[in-house]
Amino acid sequence: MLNAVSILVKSWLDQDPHIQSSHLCRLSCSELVDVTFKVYCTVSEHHAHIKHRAKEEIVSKLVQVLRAIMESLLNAKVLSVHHTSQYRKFFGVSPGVLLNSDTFKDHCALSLGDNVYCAFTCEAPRLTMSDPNLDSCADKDPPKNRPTKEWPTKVSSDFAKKCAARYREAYQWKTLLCCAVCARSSRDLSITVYELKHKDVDLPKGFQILRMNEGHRLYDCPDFHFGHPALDRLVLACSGIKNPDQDNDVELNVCDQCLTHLEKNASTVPCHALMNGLYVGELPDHLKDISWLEEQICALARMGPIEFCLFGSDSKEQPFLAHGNVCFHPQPTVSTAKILPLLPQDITQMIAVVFTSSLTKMPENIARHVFRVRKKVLRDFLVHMHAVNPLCRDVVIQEAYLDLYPDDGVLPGIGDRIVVNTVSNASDIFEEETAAFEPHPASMFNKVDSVPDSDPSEKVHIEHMGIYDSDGKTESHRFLKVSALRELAPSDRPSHLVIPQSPEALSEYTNPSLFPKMFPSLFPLGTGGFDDATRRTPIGFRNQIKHFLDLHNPAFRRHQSFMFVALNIYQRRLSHLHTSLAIRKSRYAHVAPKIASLTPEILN
Amino acid sequence: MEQEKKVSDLPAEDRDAFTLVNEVSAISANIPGSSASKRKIRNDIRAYFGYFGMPHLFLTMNPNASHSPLFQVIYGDDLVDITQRFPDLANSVNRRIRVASDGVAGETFFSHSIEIFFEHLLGWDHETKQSKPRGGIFGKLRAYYGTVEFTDRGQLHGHFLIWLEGGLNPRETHVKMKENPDWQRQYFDFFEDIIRHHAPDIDIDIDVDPDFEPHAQGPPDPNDPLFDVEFPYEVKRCADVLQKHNVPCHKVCFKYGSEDCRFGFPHDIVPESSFDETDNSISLKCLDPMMNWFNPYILTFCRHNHDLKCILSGKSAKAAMIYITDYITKDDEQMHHTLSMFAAAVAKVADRVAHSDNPQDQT
Repeated sequence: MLNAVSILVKSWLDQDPHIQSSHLCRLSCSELVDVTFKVYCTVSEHHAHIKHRAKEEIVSKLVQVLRAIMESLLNAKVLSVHHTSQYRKFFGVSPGVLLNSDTFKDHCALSLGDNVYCAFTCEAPRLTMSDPNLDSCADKDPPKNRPTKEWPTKVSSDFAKKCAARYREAYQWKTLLCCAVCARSSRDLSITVYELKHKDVDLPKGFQILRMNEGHRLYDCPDFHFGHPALDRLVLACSGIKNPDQDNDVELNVCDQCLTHLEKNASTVPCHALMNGLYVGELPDHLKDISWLEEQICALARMGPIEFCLFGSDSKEQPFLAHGNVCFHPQPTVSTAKILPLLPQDITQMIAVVFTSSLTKMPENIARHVFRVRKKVLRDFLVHMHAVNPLCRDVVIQEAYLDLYPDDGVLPGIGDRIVVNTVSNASDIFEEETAAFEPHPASMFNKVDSVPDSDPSEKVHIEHMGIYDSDGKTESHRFLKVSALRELAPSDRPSHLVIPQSPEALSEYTNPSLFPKMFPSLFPLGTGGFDDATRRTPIGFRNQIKHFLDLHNPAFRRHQSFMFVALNIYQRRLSHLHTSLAIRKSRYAHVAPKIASLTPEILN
Repeated sequence: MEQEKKVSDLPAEDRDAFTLVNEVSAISANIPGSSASKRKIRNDIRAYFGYFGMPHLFLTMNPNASHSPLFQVIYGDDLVDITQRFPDLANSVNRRIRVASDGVAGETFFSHSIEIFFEHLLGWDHETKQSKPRGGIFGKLRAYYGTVEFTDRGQLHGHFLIWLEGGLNPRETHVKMKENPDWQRQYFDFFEDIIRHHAPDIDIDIDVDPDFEPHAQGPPDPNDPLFDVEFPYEVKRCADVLQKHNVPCHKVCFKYGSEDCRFGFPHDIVPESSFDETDNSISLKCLDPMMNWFNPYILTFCRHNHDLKCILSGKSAKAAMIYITDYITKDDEQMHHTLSMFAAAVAKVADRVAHSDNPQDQT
């Protein structure tokens, strides 16, 4: 049976029209139906791997063959004339039905009738048993208009099982492929696979727009040498190409959005394409484990104050467990540095830590985990950035500042920023603050026996949080809380959280270097910022955030603060740029000139 | 107060500004998370009420990312074999750290779970935006409205109002119940079938494994020949772990300062579903006072805590709407939170002043 299936599939792919009928003759009726479904399933499973252009052909071929198969079925004198017409009705629909095996089977069952369908496929009925109308409902009004007196009708357990079985099927998650053009992998994108069989095969013409000319700033970037003449110097993502460095059988994944654009509109770059100024680059392997704090020490621009809330474990046996969250406070202005790294006090003054525990002091291992700084990583990172990132070219790397940081230790001065809130029942407070139906993911950190023996440094569980400032309020209750708790600190320290600000505020608008300056580990080449006027196809702020979060490389998604800073700027933009004024129509003539006459001077 | 003056005392320009501000109102864009966008949701639901009538079911879904094998695969753990009923997962510490570190994967997990749940278990066709011809485990749906909430526990959960195809408004239901006892029986049969309030009545005492963790398992296979035999046991096991209300109540029951359990546990026992003609009240069967309403298929296949309520009166429909919109209109500044915190801070400061010889310390 399977043999027959593979011959059939092969014959379509080879476009041989004669082979099918001869093979079909050898099969019995129920086998034929079986073959139909198996062929269909095989094709639909692999349709992602078939060239985009060929797909439609195959589908229409498939429809033809299915017709032939079904016609031979009909000739077998099993079905009445009535069913024949029903069946024809079914196959008159667009080939789109075939893309979903469920819909396909539904259509079959619906148009053939349940009992015929069962007889042919040896499957359980697909239509609900409780509804005798459905067998012939194809001829009747749509079920929507059926009288309501039927309701409520108990659903048969056979049918519920059927639903559950389909749920189980859909539950299986297929790993998402990455698009080579835009480097995104998202469940919203469907991927088409191009095969390049030989070295001399060239890509379709539309792809040439992705090729870099000499003089392009990424022209010599080694990331775009794939060892394949058709692909070299195209701005493509390596993770979207299968076997890029082998001679034959190179496969290229392209998402539907990019593909449609490249095919229809060959003169412009798709807006999500890496070629459209969205390539951000990657850090070399030895710098990949740079921590968020280390990145901030080396950043040209800083964001607002950061609050850490840590909860210690109540357990006497294991006092070194902790969990908690980090909260990023939005701040409209950010300062910028010319000398790197920043001084430790510049970093510590934007951090506030509240440690709630039965202990009077934060255990060393927790501080080491959360605020770990390594001098070598800082130096390597700065040297690397200086070499590759044009934004860092004029920055002075100050060796004396670097020496203020430990070889591998806790951020100097962080101890002064920690407020220890000593309580006897830290876990109760935590329970109360986060009460909900399900146990908190972190709650097991309080259970000693459930923590397997592992590296103690792993036993800190940190959630990331951001404050959203949608209504333009500048302080949130969390922020107030930090201030309140700081009041409780010994008095030889400043009692308020100082918000660092520099006279040189950076603009959030039309400033492509803002994000690369704030997050050097995410934008190691300094490219890929927002609102870049040199971008060939403009891309909106929101779209670009989504682009970064959908990237195959999870760095953006898992960054501690990128998401929150981006959301915040987005919300501010909406309220700045999309606010309109409404007045009564009758008053318009009176009010409009007044508004038009307003000047900033008057407002001041 | 003394320094304040009347509007008429202001210079002419400022007076103009006042009148201008009075006449003009600002309309802002739909900013995600703003209180205006939350109000919009309430208006949307009202519009649904107006068009479809009262919803029939109120469903809360609580997918649990940190235990789910599906989340591990979405996160990028290639070692998890999702086709297995009992897959091997990373240890729970690492799983939790994963959930905390990748919010996008968490969102993908949630949307995917809810989408396949509606598409297959409830029989909703997302493309045509209507019920599939045969519907799902509740019969056919006419419409649904959902809102998503991010809990303080860092996980997403969704509230859904569901309208059933052919369903009646509460008043029509009451009239029909009075007129037609057969229909009344049919009505109770239907709702007792989809909404359970007790674990299956199985004589044999099941040894519930204390480590039994339904979240971390895949759905069972309904095509398994043993499925029908196993199903009631599976329902009982899952219900005991996922749907049973804790004794004593959790902290969450007394959130927002309520004295009694916010969710009304323990529920009143109702031996048989009944309809009281005098006050038009419908009571559905409830045998286990500490069990939360559930559907056996959702329970065993989605394998997470959920809550399924039948909306029996116009009043409870409105309550459900307020409940779910209040959830999403929850501000980050919760008054009770802020106040209690400040009370504590002030108390401590006062305490320290009392013990300090130098009150100048305090600013």
